[in-house]
Amino acid sequence: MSYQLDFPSLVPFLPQFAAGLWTTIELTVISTLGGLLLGTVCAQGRISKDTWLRTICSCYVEVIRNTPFIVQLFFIFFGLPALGFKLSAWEAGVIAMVINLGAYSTEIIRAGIDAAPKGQWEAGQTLGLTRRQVFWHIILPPAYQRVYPAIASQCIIVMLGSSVVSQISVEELTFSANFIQSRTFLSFESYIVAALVYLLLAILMRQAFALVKRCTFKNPSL
Amino acid sequence: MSLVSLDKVHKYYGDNHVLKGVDLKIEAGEVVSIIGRSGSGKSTLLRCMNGLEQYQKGGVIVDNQSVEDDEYKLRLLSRSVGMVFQSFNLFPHMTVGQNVMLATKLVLKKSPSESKKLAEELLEKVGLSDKFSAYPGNLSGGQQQRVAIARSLAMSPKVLLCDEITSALDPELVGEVLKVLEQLKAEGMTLILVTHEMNFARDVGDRVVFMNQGKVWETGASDEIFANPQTEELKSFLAAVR
Amino acid sequence: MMQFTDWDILRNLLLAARWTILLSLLAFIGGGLFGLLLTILRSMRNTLITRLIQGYVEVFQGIPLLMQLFLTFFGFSLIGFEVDAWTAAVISLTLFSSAFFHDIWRGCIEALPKGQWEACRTLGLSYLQTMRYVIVPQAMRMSIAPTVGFSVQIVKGTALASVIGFVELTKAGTMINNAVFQPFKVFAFVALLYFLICFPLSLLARYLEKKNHVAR
Ligand SMILES: Nc1ncnc2c1ncn2[C@@H]1O[C@H](COP(=O)(O)OP(=O)(O)OP(=O)(O)O)[C@@H](O)[C@H]1O
Ligand SMILES: [Mg+2]
Repeated sequence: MSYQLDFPSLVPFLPQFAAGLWTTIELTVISTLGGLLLGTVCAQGRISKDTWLRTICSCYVEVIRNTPFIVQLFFIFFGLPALGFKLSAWEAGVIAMVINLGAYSTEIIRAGIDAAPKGQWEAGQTLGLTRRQVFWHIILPPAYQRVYPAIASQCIIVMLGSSVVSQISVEELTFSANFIQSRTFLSFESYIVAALVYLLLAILMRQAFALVKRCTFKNPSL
Repeated sequence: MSLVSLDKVHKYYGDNHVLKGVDLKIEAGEVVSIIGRSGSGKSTLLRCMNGLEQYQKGGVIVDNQSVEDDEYKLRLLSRSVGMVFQSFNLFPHMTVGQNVMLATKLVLKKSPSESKKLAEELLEKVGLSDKFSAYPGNLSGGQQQRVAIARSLAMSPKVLLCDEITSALDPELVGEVLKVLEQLKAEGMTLILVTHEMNFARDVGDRVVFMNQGKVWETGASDEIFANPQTEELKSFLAAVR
Repeated sequence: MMQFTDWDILRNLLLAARWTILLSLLAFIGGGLFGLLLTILRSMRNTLITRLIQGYVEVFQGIPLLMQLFLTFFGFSLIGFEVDAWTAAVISLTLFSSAFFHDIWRGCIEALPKGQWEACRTLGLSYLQTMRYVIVPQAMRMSIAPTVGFSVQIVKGTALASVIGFVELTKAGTMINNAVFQPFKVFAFVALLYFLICFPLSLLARYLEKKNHVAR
């Protein structure tokens, strides 16, 4: 191999990496919370008695799940301003990520809801709870528990997907790597560092999810 | 006015005519056992009494409220009618105490301390005061079913519907659940039981309703029915289950 | 400047969509073959091989696909091969898919009840015989639906090849948008075309899954 990898030259750029990493974490946390909330609400819409609401929710899910994230991002960042919605790159990135995770988590959570025995609905109903109370208090918590692993993987996928928002100049980790390689011409080294940081983040996230699981679900598994 | 009164109730599942004009009156304080072959419509009948199933013709009145397909009315009705299921249907993510307190908090809007006190009393009554903080998944079937009974009682219903509540239990656990039912009878609770426990129906029940072909085929005082069945169908049914 | 009608936009996008489809097909086939190889290697139950493959999957599932594209693109030029965007895209999408395919298929094999293995042992079947006659046929049936499902991910993944400059559907979209500056319309068309490719695949995957559930 004729080429010597040169990592030491990247050391002066550590602050840039750190700043990018921080933005990536920020994006991930916000879109995870927002996306899961959106997914939960839409999952309720998917099982609603209102045909219109059901249709709207399933169209949303299908459109998002069957188009690439980068196209959704471009549509939101470039397309919506044409209609008069001015968005900063960061806002567009967050919105795209929330909408994306929202669609996937709708499907995941709905699968968890579908797996609830009919008797759980009936038991809630005979106790006099409203349909909404039954949903939030009785059906939803075990549904989360059932699909928790799938939710965790999807959140990690969204974290990894956040690298794409570099393409609209959100200054996250991939953007930092791009910037640094354009300054140093150490492209391979910059991307290797960024890739390792992503890998580490993915592993840490998996562990964080496992920890949350241990602290949250105390009942014997379903 | 009877506590429960069914007037020519007809129920179809698609083309399947399941209840073919059921007339039945049940007074407060009665313990009524509903027996009959599998598929004769016992569960359906019970579920028509609290609105879990809709019927197509006739009328059902429970505690002076007409049972109709209306979410709000059914919610009001649920304060008068409790139900215990064959498969317990406890909420797996809540402790035993939380299971019992859920409806008192959300529906009856009792304060947490009041709810807790009530839940402790009820669990004491079914003999499970030490299980307040346990999860249903860690209890035996018999214990789970007793929790389910306590959970229904928390709404202080006027009548308790029980659909084969001992059928999913190991034989040695059936007794502890039946004991709770006996105790409830002694306190004057109205019980309507779909059951395969003929001994229990005879010894504890006041009245037996024999369902056949979607109708109340024969009904009468428990000892009478078992000693002197009138119809051929009941005779052959009793002969088969003994 | 040239005037673009809606039809011009759509026609150009359709032409570019051929590359999206071709890239997806190559990644599907390449990833499938390589994933199969990994699965076969892993079923030899050699601890070292298993570790290595686990690491491989971990890396490719734990690094953004975009990073993988960059690393392939720039990594090859480092060791003296100048690769174009097309080659880099095919290679990295192949590697990416192979990790996921392997993971899906391994999951199907492991999802079979233990009783199947035990029954075979009591019948005196060897490990290879058990695999060949009992495990693989069942696992294959189970794996069809998720495999088709993953093809949707591949199609969507090809959109990232636009970032390293390969002109497929998404890149064509940005280029056309730079010419006509009607981002709302152009990206809506782009999204529509992806939807038309992906949605039938999603439906097929769902149908197959349902069929599988009924069969069992
Ligand atoms: N949800 C349903 N949809 C369609 N048909 C149903 C439904 N529930 C019950 N049935 C039918 O209604 C009839 C009566 O059922 P029901 O469950 O009331 O009988 P049962 O007397 O309780 O029987 P078992 O002793 O087996 O519990 C049966 O023919 C059954 O197939
Ligand atoms: Mg029944």
